[in-house]
Amino acid sequence: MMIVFCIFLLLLGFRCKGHATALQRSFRMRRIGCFTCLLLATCAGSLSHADETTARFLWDQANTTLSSAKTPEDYLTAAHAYNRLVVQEGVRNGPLFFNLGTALLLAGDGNNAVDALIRAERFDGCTTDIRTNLRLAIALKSERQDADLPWSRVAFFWHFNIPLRIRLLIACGGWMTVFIALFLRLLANNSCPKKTNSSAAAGARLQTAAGSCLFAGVLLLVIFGSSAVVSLLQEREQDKTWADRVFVSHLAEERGS
Amino acid sequence: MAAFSISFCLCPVKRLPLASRLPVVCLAFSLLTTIALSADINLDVGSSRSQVYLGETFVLNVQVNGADDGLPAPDLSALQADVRSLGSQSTSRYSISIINGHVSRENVESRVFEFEIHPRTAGTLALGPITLDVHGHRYSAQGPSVKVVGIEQQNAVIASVQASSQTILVDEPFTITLSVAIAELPEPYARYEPLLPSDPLHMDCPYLSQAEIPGLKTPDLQKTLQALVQQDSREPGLTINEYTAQQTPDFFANPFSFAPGQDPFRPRPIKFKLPRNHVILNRRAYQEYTLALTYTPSQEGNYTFGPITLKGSIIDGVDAAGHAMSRPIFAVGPAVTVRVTPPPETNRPDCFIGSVGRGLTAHAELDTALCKVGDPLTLNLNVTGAISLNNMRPPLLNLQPALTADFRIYDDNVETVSIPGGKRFRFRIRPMREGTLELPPIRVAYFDTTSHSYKIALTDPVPLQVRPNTQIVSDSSDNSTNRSAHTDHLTIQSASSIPAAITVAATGARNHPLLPPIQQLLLLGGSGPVLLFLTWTGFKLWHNRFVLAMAHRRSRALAHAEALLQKAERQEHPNAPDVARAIRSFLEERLNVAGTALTPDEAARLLHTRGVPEALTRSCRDLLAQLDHVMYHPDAGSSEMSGVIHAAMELLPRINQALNHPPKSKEDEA
Repeated sequence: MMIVFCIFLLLLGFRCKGHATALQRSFRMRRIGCFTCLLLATCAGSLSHADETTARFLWDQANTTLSSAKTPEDYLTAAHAYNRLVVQEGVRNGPLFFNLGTALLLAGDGNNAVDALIRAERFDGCTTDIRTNLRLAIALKSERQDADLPWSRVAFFWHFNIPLRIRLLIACGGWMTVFIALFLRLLANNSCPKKTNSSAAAGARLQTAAGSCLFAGVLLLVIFGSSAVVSLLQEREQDKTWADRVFVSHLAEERGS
Repeated sequence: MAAFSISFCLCPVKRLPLASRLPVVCLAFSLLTTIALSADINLDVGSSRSQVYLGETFVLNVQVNGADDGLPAPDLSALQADVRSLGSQSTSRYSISIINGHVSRENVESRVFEFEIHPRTAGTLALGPITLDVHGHRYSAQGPSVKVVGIEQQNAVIASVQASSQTILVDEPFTITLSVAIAELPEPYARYEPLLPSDPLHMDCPYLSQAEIPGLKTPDLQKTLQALVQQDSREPGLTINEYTAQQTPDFFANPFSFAPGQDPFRPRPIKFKLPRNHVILNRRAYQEYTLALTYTPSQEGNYTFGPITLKGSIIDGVDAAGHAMSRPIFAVGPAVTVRVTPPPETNRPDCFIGSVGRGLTAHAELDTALCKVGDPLTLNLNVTGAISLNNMRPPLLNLQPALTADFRIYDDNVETVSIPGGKRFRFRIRPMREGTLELPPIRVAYFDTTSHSYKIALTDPVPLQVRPNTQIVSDSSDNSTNRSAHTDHLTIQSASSIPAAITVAATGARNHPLLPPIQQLLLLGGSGPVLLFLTWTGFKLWHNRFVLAMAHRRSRALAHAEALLQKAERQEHPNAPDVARAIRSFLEERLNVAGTALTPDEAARLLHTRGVPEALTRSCRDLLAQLDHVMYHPDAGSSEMSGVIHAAMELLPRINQALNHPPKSKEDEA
């Protein structure tokens, strides 16, 4: 690869002698940029397969560790194995965070378990499994036998039950509906210059439809857009600080003490 | 090669203009990309033999490093030999090792193509150049040279080495039969062996000296050959390789058993009496000596047996006095190569466990018949039969949808135990729902050596009763001393207090985007505004269509008039009405007046009202009046018309400019 790169630099005309004009220099720089992008894309393509295999290997290893775990220390080891996928390999998906949260729950780390399960929820929505484990994680966090999910999860059900990507798409749908409403309004104002009875009725119908669309669109945009933005900000914040988290097995500590 | 190509491209690039250089640069990019992608491909050529006798074949291996799938077969047309393809096998491997958290990967892609080479002539056979075309690039390699030795044609002795099968699977036994056929003596001596007892025929057969061949389970050569030793030194026989024995001379039995000048204690070649039978080959009677040995391969590869060479004298006739007539002979028996290959890749089922053999049976059993949802169960899968065990691996049960419907299976944690005639695989599974379930038949595939095809064995279904999961906990506090005192206060806690099971689906190892694709977002977010803008623009244009049309008419008035004037000027006899029409159409379009019958005075008045300077107004009026005059006096000359046209072509732009920039005050006008 290096040989090819060097040869290409020669091709680009890195000549020591002579003076190049500004246009020639600009064209050369553009060519270097193009080739660098091409080179990086090629390298990325060849590495992606290896990364995927590594991730698959780590995933299987973590699953094996968790399925054969018996003590909180074992569960904590499994959680670290899952977290290696998140931190080192950069893998982000619902099943991974669910398994990580479950491993942390079984290890006795309620705080991190709740956060991991909430991250899983953002990817996959609130499934029955996530809800069950999240409830247990909240109970563990509050050091109680059992706990109910917060009332906000019922009141803002769309925020918790629907995956972030779906919420964002619905918000985009609302945005589009707003413009459809404006389009209908424009059509109603311009399509019936002759004030006949029939055209007036058609215009009124269009105005009504435009109003309904506008209301629905704004509602969808506000509800799902704000929900998606909140989730995005939370996810960004958690993702930024995830690598610094320290997983602790409180059950192991209690047992030790 | 790469440097040559690039410097070739570079030269014209420097000389061409910018626009012409782009395709060349693109070509260079694509060339470089191709080179970069395929720079690691190379060919390794190897031969199973370095020297062969004419008539023998050998196996040529061409290993392509750096690529695997979709490779075409290498081109061996340059070889001076008959070539037969024996197929190809993938030898790619990928390994990951994690030591103290450090992940190291190794990814090697390669494929081995095998060919059977049959040299046509004696001499040195060059194995190359061998070429391979991949993605438009040609790779070539030169293999080693093989010496082809020609032999004298004779039919008194025919030697051969034959294999029961030349392509076999691991653990599939095969037989190598060595055969030496010597022409029979004429009657009435046909029953005698055509070998000289005093000068035995010597056979050189390398594989009969190899007690162990890597990758093969060899027969007990010592025991086999020991049984064939000719005990009576006066009987004819064959000597083989360097097998010798220290023989004590028996002076009492035969005081003349050694020749003068010879060391009586020197080791002497052992004579072997191979099984003999009568055969007809090529319509001629032969006495055939054979030796069959059975081998069992334990590893894949190519195994060559032979060649064998025979050197010495045989009896080829009897003279009238009844004395044997001997003849020196040298014969070569061609070698045979046995290829031990893995089972074919085509039609290989997902549940293939790597075993080869016949009569595989599978039996599944659970450690319990009654359990609760989520309980870990042990599934024992016993696989037995006349099959190879070396390559046997546990089947991936997660690939069998019938099994994963009701059970969660942990394929990654399988214990393997050897049992008589097979292996036992111990899986951990969990039932995922309550009720009376049935563990479906497990499919286990193996390669059947009888039918040479994959066969699938099924286990019997196993019934299982699964109850809902409940957990009994104490109402009392966690104090262990109190726990025993309050054991009578028990409640049944719901199964929902148990964490839900993890998922082992492979999707967990892949990145899932949290957000929808950017294309979708752009489409949904951008289509509304774009649609609205286009609609609004359309309505605006529709409403202002007349204003726009007039503006367009005004803007092209001068060009239109000039075109008409130039057309009139090009005529041999310019026509006054055409010129007048050009000027009037200009005025009409520019001043937005309907009709084309403006009189000179009307035109002057209109121009005056639009703020055109008086001099231009007057010139226009005079010009129109002159044209009207010429129109009704056809005798006016063409030179006069030419002057009018030039005057019009000068006047119209000035009027147009004056109309575009009307004077703001009287001073400006002045």
